[in-house]
Amino acid sequence: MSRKFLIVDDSNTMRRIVVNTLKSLGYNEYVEAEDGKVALEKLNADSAINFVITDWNMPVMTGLELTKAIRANERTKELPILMVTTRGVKEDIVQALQARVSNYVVKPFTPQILKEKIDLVLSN
Amino acid sequence: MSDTVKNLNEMMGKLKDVGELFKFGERMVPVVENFISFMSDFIPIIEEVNGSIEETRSKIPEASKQINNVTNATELAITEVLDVVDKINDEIHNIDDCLSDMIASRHSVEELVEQLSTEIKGNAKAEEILQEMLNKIDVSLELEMMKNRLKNIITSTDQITMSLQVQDITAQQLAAVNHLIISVQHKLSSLLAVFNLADEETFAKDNLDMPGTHFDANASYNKSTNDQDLVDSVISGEKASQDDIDKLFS
Ligand SMILES: [Mg+2]
Repeated sequence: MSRKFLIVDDSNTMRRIVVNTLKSLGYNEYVEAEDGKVALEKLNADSAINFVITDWNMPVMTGLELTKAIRANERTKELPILMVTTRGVKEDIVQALQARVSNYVVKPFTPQILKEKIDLVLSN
Repeated sequence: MSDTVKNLNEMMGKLKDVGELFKFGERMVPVVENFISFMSDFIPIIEEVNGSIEETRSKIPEASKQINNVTNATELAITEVLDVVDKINDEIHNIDDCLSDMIASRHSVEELVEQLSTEIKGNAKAEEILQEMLNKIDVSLELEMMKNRLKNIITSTDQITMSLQVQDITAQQLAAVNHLIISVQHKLSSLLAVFNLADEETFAKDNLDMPGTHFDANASYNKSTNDQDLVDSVISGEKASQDDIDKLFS
């Protein structure tokens, strides 16, 4: 099955780093969004997207709000969502899990960690 | 005692009170004088404080602009570094492909040599030359070594990519500082309005817009795996408790 990623982060640098990491893992299909609202628009416009990698802290709509919106939509509720964020305290992790993210990566991450988590999410 | 004497006595009492009041007034004069002198010293201080608050407040937009400039300049520089890292990675993959081709052609040469050695079996001299030739052109070890070195370079570029994530972290820290100094500007404007008895809006009109709080003020650049280990343990803990709940309902 081909993978098309939606990479959501307000930092250009981070989007670029995630894209580079995905390419090095052999995933070449992706779209980018700078906040949760744009992400939802892209998700609604492109049914080929089947994996979301999202930051938490973003203007307009946060990654947590995006996760809740994706889970609340019948068409997208089962979509794999990987939260990639600087927030590493337990309360945040629990909050993200309660919003039903599929997994969670703390920045800065190594390409190996990202690969590991993507594989883990896809294997479940 | 006649009423007249009684009234005179009363008047004397009142006069004594007035006398006491004058005495007290005399004692109070230096205190009041000191107070007036203190106030006349204090007013310039208040004016100075007022002026320095105004100066601090007026410098805040420039400080905020400089913080944004730092964020933008860092982002630009890091994008350039990422461009270079991309080029290096492309070159590494090209070289790696070339090495793979060389290793493949080396295998086909080996097959030809195999055939040739069957053909020249019995010709000791030819067999000796062929062996010597094989020893001289055998670069399989070097090829493997070069492949390993390329892997090391890729590991190093991965580390560079990881380190460049510091930009997102510092950008969030700077955004937190920016948010803080803009809120200080707003507070100073309110304070100045009190001091100057002027309309708060007059001071607020050149206030910067309060930026959103879309940053993690606690973002930190920590390359240890402790944070990720915590995430993994929380996830497995949550999963375990979810499994227990699932079991109860199954
Ligand atoms: Mg962010």
